[in-house]
Amino acid sequence: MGCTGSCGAGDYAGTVRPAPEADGGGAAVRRYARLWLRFAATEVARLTEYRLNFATTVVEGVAQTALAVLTFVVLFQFTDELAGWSRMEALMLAGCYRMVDGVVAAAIAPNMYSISGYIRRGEMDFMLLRPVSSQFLVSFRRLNLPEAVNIPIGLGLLLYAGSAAGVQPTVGGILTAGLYVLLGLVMLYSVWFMTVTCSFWLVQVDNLDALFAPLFDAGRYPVSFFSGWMRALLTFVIPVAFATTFPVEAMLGERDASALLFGVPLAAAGLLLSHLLWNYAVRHYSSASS
Amino acid sequence: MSSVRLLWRLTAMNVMTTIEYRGAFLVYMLNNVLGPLISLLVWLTVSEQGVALPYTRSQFVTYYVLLSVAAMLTSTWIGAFLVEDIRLGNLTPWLLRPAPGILSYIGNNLGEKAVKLPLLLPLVAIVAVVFRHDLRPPTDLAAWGLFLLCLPAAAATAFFLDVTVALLAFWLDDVRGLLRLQVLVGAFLSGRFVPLELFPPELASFSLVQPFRYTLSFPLEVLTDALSQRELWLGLAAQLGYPALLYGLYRLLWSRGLRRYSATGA
Repeated sequence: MGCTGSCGAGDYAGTVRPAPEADGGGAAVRRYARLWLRFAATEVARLTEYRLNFATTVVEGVAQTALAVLTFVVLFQFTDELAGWSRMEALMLAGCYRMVDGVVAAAIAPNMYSISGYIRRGEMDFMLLRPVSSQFLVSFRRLNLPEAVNIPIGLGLLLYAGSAAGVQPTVGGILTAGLYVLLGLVMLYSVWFMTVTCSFWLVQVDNLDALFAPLFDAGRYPVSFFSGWMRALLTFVIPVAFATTFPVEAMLGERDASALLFGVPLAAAGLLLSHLLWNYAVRHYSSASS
Repeated sequence: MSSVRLLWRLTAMNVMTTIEYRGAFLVYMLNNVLGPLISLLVWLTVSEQGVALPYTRSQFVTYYVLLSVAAMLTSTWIGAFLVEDIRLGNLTPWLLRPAPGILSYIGNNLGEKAVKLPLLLPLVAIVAVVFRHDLRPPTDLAAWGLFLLCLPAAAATAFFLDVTVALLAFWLDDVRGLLRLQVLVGAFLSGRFVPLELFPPELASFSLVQPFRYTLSFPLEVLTDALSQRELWLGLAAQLGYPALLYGLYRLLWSRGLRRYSATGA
């Protein structure tokens, strides 16, 4: 993998807008995948310089898991079943949440926390100059790979709690669960990205990204723990339900694939909207150098 | 006396800076309300199932509404900044001045909180209105008096705990991970997610003595729980003892650490 010619901004010197993709769809996907791998490779190189940081992230991940388990221990000391969830089923959800949190914290969050800075400091110029989609670049350029340890930690908890609950998931159930997680990630990304895109207008509010954190935190509980407006909010607006509750329900065999029917259009609409908003916002960007 | 005047000036200066970024602080305040609200909704689900709980529905509502204000007033964020100042040598200007360097951090803490409070109160009021039927603010004036006494002590405990951990940066290369861990564990052990009274019995004796209880939970317990005379006096002793202890620890680490501190121009 290499950043030959086509990655350099030099080829497009003078053009401010990203060049449209001239090649076909498949080639574009391959090119963007290669680029992302390149981002990951530079991050791995950086990572080896900060080994202590990796160690503390592991400790943090374990501590977070322990605290999540403790929260459910506290909740379930008064009852064996909460809103249809047993203790072990709730722990499966805690495991699933940790995995999703691992993906979000490793690949999505570091970018969302950076965007308002690009805008405030005028660094967005460099993003717009490059011959790739600027949305792709600002959304995936940064990685915080140590956070990915949360994925195996969460998987461990999920498997442990699943076997303790006596769950025997079918292949279909696991596939459906995977699809729900994927949709959930796309939706979370879209909503979060749209929030930070507002930084183009609200330059003074440098922490719009922070608005998202407590609601994403709500994903550590099954959505059925909430009622009325909060459940609707967590299913459709800040769709953590797709990322954590639905996948675990699918593994438990309590949810079929039918929610995909509105999940896929919802995710697609979110992605499209985020793209439209981004393009609209970029036009409002008062650059630092031009 | 000049230290007091300096602290006053620093606080006023921080009020002015914070006002400039009021939008950003409003977002933080929204977070401050949403976190406890989510915990509250979960506990209301538990109590609606007809499960026997040590807390009633209205106790939960009262606890979490008061918590969203108290948590802001006792919050601290200085650790990460202090670590960076030590690492990058930004401590130096403060060492040249004829006043303790910690004053600038205290001024920042007080100044920001002065601006955050009027931003936070309307948001808490909205939550209070939504749950007005279950909200039972205590009417006992003595309890409120004790609460107002304990709150600054809790803020001091949180502040000097944060500073003490951050000062380890004089000896260790990277204490940011340690600080994040402290925030994580502290949030749980200070009763931010779950009232300490609901902890399982095996953890009860530990949860009563650990310092994080005195960074947030204890003032709330004074106000909302029926603490026995004995529990109250022991708690009050710890509530005043912890900040004194941590202040002493800060003084010790600060003077020892400064001898190791080296920076360009120092």
